[in-house]
Order: sequence, then C-alpha cells, then structure tokens
Amino acid sequence: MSGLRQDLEVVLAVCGRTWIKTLRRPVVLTFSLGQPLIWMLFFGFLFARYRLLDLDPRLGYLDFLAPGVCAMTVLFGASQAGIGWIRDLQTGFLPRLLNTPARPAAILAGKLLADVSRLLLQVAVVLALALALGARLRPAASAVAVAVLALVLFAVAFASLSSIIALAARAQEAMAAFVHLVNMPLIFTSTALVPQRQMPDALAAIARLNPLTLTVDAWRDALLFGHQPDASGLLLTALLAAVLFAFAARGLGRAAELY
Amino acid sequence: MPTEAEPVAARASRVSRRFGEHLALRDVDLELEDGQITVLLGANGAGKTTLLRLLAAVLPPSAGTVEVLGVAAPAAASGRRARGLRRRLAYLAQRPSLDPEMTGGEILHLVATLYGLRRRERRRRVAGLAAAFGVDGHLERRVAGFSGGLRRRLHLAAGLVHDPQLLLLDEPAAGLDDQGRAFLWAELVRRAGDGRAVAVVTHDLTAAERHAHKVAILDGGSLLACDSPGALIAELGRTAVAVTAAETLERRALERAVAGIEGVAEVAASGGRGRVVLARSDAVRRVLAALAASPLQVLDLEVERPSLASVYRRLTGREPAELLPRRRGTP
Repeated sequence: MSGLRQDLEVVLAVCGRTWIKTLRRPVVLTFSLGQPLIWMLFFGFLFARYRLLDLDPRLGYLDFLAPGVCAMTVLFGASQAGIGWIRDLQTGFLPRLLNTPARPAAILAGKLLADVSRLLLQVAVVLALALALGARLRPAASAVAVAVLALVLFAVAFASLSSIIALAARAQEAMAAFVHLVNMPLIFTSTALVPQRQMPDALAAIARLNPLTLTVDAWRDALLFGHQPDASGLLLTALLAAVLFAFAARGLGRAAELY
Repeated sequence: MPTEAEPVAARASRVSRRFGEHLALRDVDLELEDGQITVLLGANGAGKTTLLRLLAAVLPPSAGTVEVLGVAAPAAASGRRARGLRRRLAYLAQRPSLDPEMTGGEILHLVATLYGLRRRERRRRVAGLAAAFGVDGHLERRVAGFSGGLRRRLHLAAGLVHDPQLLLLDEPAAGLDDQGRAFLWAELVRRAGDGRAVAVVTHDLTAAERHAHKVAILDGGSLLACDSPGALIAELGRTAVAVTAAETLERRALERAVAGIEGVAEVAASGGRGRVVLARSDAVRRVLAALAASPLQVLDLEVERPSLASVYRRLTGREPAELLPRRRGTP
C-alpha cells in the first residue's frame, strides 16, 4: 500500500474510532453543547443594552455575540482534545497503536479530524440557537467558507496544543488547569465578547495578537457583513496550527516508548 | 551458534539498560533465531521485560548493541526503516492494552488498518484470528464487559493480526485458562514451525521445558544461563527428594537425617516442607531410606527428577514459585 494511501486509511480509521467513542459518551456531547447555550443566554441578555461603538448601529449585542460564542465553543472543545489521549495512555491502547507502522502524524490527524468535525457541528447548533434567540446574521457563502477554514485552523491549533499538554503531563487534572488557565485569559483578552475599540488600550494591544481575536473577527466579518476574512490573520492562524500540530505529532511519537 | 538454516532474527550484544540509578539489565547477550521459541525466565525485576522492550525497539539500550530483523539500533530508527521494522515484529506487553469503550471487532479492525492491511485481507485475518483465539462470538461486544481471559485472548489476536516474523510476548498466558494456555503454546509452536522467531516471558516451567528451543534465565538484570532446556537440565539439573512433614521441619534436623550419605549436595527446609538436593542421582534410595527411618514425622516423600525448576533453583537460589507475578496487595 502506498504511503499516502496508508496515511489516509489511518486518518479515516482513527477518525471513525474517535467518533464512535464520542457517540458512546453522549453526556460529553450534551455538556459541550450546553456550555455555549449558557454563554449565549447569560451574556446575550446581560449585555443586551450594551452599545457597540464601532459597529453598525443596527447590530444588537446578540448579533455581535453569536460569532464570538461560536469561536469560544471551538476553543473550549479543542482545548479538551488532549483528555482522550490521557485515557488512551492509561489503558495502554495509545502506545500500542503507536508501535504499529502508522505515522504518529496520521494518528493525530485522524483524531483531530473527528474533533474538528464535531466542533463544526456544534458551531452549526450554536448558530441555529442564536438565530432562534433573535440574532440577525447577513452571511455571504464565499466569505463563510473562508471563515470556516479559519475556525478549522484555530481548532487544529488548540487541539494540538491540548494534545501537547496532555502527552507531557499525562494527568487529567493538568488538563482542567490548562483549560482554565489558557482559555479564560484568551477569551477576556479577545474580541469574543467586547469590540476592540471599547477595550482599555493595553488590553486592545493584547487582543490584536490573540489568535482567538483573529478567528472571531474572521467569523464575525463573514457572518455579520459578508466580508472576506483578513488574509494575514488566516495566515498567522495557519502557521500557528502547523507549528503546534508538528510539536503534537512529535510528542505522540515519543509516547510509543510507554508501551 | 545459529546455523544458516536458523538465521538470527534479533541479537542483543552486551546490552545494559539503566533507569536513573537502577541498572535493570547488565551486559546481556542473547540471540533469537528464526524457527525457534526462546523462553525468558526470571523473578520480578530480573530484567525480562526490559530485555524484551529493547528487542522490540521500544527502548534503546544504555550500553551495548541491539539488532532486530536486520536493523541496527532499532529504537533509534525512524521513517521507513522504523515502519518497516514495526510491520514485521509484534511486541505484546504484559498488560492487555485495549480500549474498553470499543468492541472486540472494532479493535481488531483498527489495529489491522494501522498495520496497513487492505480491506479484504483485514477481514480475512480478523475472522481467522478471532476464531482461532475464541473471541469470534464477542466481536460485537464492548471490551469493558470482557473477562480477564477474554481480554487476554483479544490482546493476543490483535498483536498477531499482521502475521509478524518476530514475536515478543510478555507473559502472554497470564489470565488464560488451561484450554487457552494449550492453544497459545500450540499457536506459538506452529508459528515457530513456519520459521518465525518467538521470545516469550513466562513463569510456566512445564510449558517452557516442553516447547522452548532455548531458555534464558535472568536474575537481578544478568543473564545466568541460556541454552536448550535439555542441555540446561543435563548440565545443571539435579535430582532432589521433597519432604512433607506433619510439623515444622528444621534444616538441621533434616541434615541430621541424611548425614553421612554420599551425594547429598544441599538441604533446605521451610515450614512443613523440605528438600534434599542430590549431586548424584544414585543416592536417591539411601536418602529415601534414611528419611523413612528418621524421627521426623514424614507424611510424604517425592523424588524430583532434574528439571528446569531445579536448574532455576540452583542458578538463582530462588524457589520457582517466585517466578509467579506478584498480585496487588501481596508483599
């Protein structure tokens, strides 16, 4: 079997396995859908009268918030991707898989493909929920396609980062700390909940470099205005995703020693 | 020495392996030949698993060299060389490494896919191995509901799905019933007969004596002996008389009972049991007579012919019972 075809088979097999496990744990799926619902309801109604200075006056806070919650859903889901590796390390199943001829990068890609596709489905549910709550979106198909790519790259980056942490720490407790220590500062220094112009200067400077901001802005431009996302932001997110994926694949390869 | 008909599948030369301050393996030489079963014997901490992991390219040695299936320094191999090696060897760790949330069939198919088997071949191998290892009736069930023995069978079936040239098995029979053990050894003998090289860590001395072409005895990280069971027994095995008494046996009392008999090499006693080891087997009758006539309250006398157990006892100074893996909660 050729290398590329073998890699593709591995990616699909591991993706299938991850989906099977996800569907057999519906509780996890339910919780990960419940969280964005809470964000949407609490923040949506709490800041319903919040004036958005630099945006179209016809936009309400819920309209502004919906793309942000989509990106936050991806952030939270992706940053928990590493937990699956820890379970697989505990059973010894992961080291076993890594001692086959399959490339660690293909195994990682299979897992991330499943995780990212699940997250995109969750984003679709979040959008449906936002529309049901009264959000007004004006998307353009081509812009949304590019914004989905931005979301995918962001998910790959953070799922890879989560995998790096999980493979190094090998403890679920560490993942809980990671999720809170990384996600919360990322959210509150991004444009997910507040426009950049309404932030204090120092925070706005940080927000400009925040990968969550790049993704939220791409998603918001596409969904609210039908604008093509900024190419440089996309490029930066792609670079981040590529670097973190490479490190995660390397960490995965090292876990073969644990067999 | 291996001949041309028995090429070396794996070779460890003067290998040592250190984990921090602990020297787990010291200057060990071992060759695994195609068509042969090599059994590794030793108590906990003897270095068997470490040796197997070095040969499986999971760990690099701290010193010495390892060559496996023509690949030198296999643990450092990368890319195609590493993948080619993994395609031809199977290392099965002692603990069944399975995902409890998956079904037996899903695990076998996933592992077969990762070994690069095409769909039709995958189905054929999975069906064949599942039937052979008696898991064919459980392919639709999740592993979480499997018994220990069933998990072990699935673990073995998954490990052999790619028909490896070199099999490295760490206590593969642990948790199997008599029927499972018999099947396992028959399968290993069959694969060795097909020219595969097999290395097995086991505590089953009877099976080792019956099926192994070569037995390597390790203790404290060192290789004490390595030869065919017959050669080891001929050279190092000793006849012994096992004594069961109605009361606690003291070594001195046992020594007094057999004092003056030529050919007695060693006397040992613990609890109600003792053993008189003989340097010459023609001393058996005199020892039996002396014990029967002694004031010891003897319940039973049994002559133990030279065996791997006696070889192990002589080389390590340990009882073969110490080969058994410790259970959790026991000292």
